Order: sequence, then structure tokens, then C-alpha cells
Amino acid sequence: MKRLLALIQGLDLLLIPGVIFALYMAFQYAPRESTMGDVQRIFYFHVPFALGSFMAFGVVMVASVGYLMKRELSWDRAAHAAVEVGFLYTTLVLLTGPVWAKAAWGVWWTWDARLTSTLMLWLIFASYLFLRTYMADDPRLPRFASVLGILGALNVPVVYYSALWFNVHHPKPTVLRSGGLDPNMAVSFRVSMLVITLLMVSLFVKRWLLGRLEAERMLLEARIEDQEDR
Amino acid sequence: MTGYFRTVAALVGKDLLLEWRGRETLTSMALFSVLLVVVFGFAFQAQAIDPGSQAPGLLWIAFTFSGVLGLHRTMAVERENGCLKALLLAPIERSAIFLAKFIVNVILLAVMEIVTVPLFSILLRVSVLPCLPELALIAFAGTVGFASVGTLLSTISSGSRLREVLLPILLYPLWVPIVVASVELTGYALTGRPMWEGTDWWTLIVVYDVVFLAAGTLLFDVMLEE
Repeated sequence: MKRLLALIQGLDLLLIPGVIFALYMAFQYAPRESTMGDVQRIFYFHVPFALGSFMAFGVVMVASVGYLMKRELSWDRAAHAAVEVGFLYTTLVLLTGPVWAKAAWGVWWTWDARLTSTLMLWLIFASYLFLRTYMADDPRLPRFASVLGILGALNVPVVYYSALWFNVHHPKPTVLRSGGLDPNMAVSFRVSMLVITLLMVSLFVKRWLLGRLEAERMLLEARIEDQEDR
Repeated sequence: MTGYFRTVAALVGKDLLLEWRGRETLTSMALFSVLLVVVFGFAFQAQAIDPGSQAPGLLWIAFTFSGVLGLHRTMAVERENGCLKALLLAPIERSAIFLAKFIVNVILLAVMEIVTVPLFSILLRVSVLPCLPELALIAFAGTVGFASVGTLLSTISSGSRLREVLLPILLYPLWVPIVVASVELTGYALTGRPMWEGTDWWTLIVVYDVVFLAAGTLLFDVMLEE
């Protein structure tokens, strides 16, 4: 645990200049987009946050299935940590998206499939976090949360492909395919994608370890109460 | 395999008999949906409701708000007097319990919907007679998805302090894709547009129905470990 924490702290030291570098790449290095102008630069954050949240919810799926198979609380805490990070990233997607939409479409929000399904994903994991807070001291919580986590993560492909399946205003996903992007833009995008992904890893691992500390603290508290009773 | 289905049939029979003797769940669901339709009537006064854009949404609000009451009840009755423990002690597959509860929920929801639609049609002056078969098919497809994920999640809400407050919070976000598709297709039906124009929506409903039913059958076991 100590070694993992040291590793993550090392990563954090890299992330501080990394984030500044990503900001420089997005706002200085990347060329101005010809039709949309500067507002397009939000793409260097919006898309990595979206892909990052999908990755986090992928971890939720793996960790939830892992808990149900192994029944070790460490898996459950991993799922919880991944949901929190994924939820944060989805929130950032939902905040950066409208800023761009207002400039590009003239409205903050439209009910197209991409936006609706992203909002749905956010609501699903909001209810997941609600369940976790509300049932915090219930021994059945890990099982219930795992099932809800699996059901929620099943929706990720739908959110990703919704822009391809349905007629939407939202730009089609181009990132996982090659071509179309100016090389300087592509470099800037890769930098911010890398930085935002590593940031997610750092947040996730720290939240996971924090969950373990919380569990240890609860054990200690229970033991103290036990002794006071005696 | 026949033994499995006999078990499911016996469980469904038990629940339906229980419901027939008490009629608590159906009465509360139907009454609530009647109240909702009346509230819609007040809200819209004498204005005509647009069958393409407004009526489908209102109809599905009535279905889902009333439906969630029933979903909670069918599982909550098992928590009383230790019935659930007895069920779990019985030498039957857990998935049979899920399927039985799911079927009972579909039947109860269908009855509630059958009560709601004529009243909705008369009070809000939306003509449903020409498209009744289509409407029934859409309602069935939407209800299957609602009942499958609802049955699974009602095991959480029925054993919790918050009870019926918790179920909609957990259920509605997961239910969004199906309700969106159902509302769209209901709009097609009410305005007389051919169903094949909504193939995408049908695909969405069917995929979610299958995924939720499979997830429910597989995960129900986990929910009921005591």
C-alpha cells in the first residue's frame, strides 16, 4: 500500500507540469479552428473527460463483477472509487458541453440522443452514490451496489454509440478513428488525453486507498466501543 | 425444465391469488393512475392535448408513476412475516422466483394500464381506438423492460428504511432509454404513423428488454442472499 501511494505521489509530481503543458498545448500550440473559432478548444478537455468517464465506468463493471465473484471488500471499494471518479468526469463533460453548445448551436442544451444518454448515465451513477451514502452501514450494500454498478456500466456502449445510431446534433465520435484532424490538433489532443487519463488513475487509486483507511477506521472505532462497553 | 416452469407457474398463481384476496396493490396503482389523469385534466383545462407530442408523455408518466407503487408492493409483501425466508428455503431455483415476480408485475401493470387508457382517452380527448393493437404492443414492450429492472431493484427498496421512496430513484435513470423509445412509438401510434418508421426505437426497446431480463435472471440470486 505504501509503495502504491509513493508511486501515485510520484505521478502527481509529473501531473502538475503535465496539466500546465496540456493547457499550453490546447490554448497556444493547437491552431485556431477555422469555422468554430476558439470555442473549439474545449474539445481538448470535453472529449478526454468523456472517454475517461467511460474508462472509469469500465473499471466499475470489472470491479463489481469482481466483488460478486470473489466477495472481497477491496473490489467493492474499487468500484466505489471508480464511480466517484467517473461521476466527476461525467459532471465535467456535462459542464463543458453546454459551453461549446451555446457558441456552436446557440442553445445550452438539446435533447438529442448523445446528450440525453450522457445525462442518463450521470443520473444512474448519482443514484448509485445516493444508495451508497444512504445504506452506508448496511452489510448488504456491497452486493446491491455491485448490481447497480453493473446495470449502470452496461449503458456505456449505448452512450458511446448513440451518436452513430441516431440522428444527432452532437459531432460524431472521430477520436477512436484516424484521419480528419489537423496534425497539430491531434498532438494537442493526445497530450491532454494522456494527462486527463493519468489524472483519473491518480484520483482513482487515492480514493481506493482512502476507502481502505475508512474501513480500517470503522473497525478501530468498533473495537474502542467494544472496550468501553466492557 | 418442465419442473422449473411448474415452479414459476405455482409462484405466479400464489401471488395472483394473494392479490385477488386483498386487491391492495392493484387498487392503489389504478387509483393513483386515475388521480394522475384527473390532475393532467385540471392542468390542461379544456385545451386540446396534442396526440403527437404531449399525449404520449403524459400517458407514460401515468404508467410509470403508478407502476412503481406496484413494483415495490409485490416484493414488499414477501418481507412481511418472513415469507421471503420461506421462499428462499424452498428447494427451487432463485431465478424461478425472479421470473414469477416479473410475470406477476407485468400482469398487474397491464391491468393498471388497461384501466388507465380508456379514462385517459375520454378525459383528455385523445382518440386511441384506431391504434389499439399498436398501443397494446408498445405498452407491453415498455412494461416488460420496466418490470424486469423494477423487479430486480425492488429487492433493494423493499428491505430498506426508505422503502418506496428509494425504488423510483434507482429505477427511473435506468429506465430512461425504454421510456424515451416507448413515448416516441406511442406518438407514432396516436398520430397514425406506420410502425416500421420507428424501427430504431423498437430495436432500442427490445435490446434493453433482453439485457434487463437477462441481468435480472442472473443477478437476482445475489440480491436475495440473506
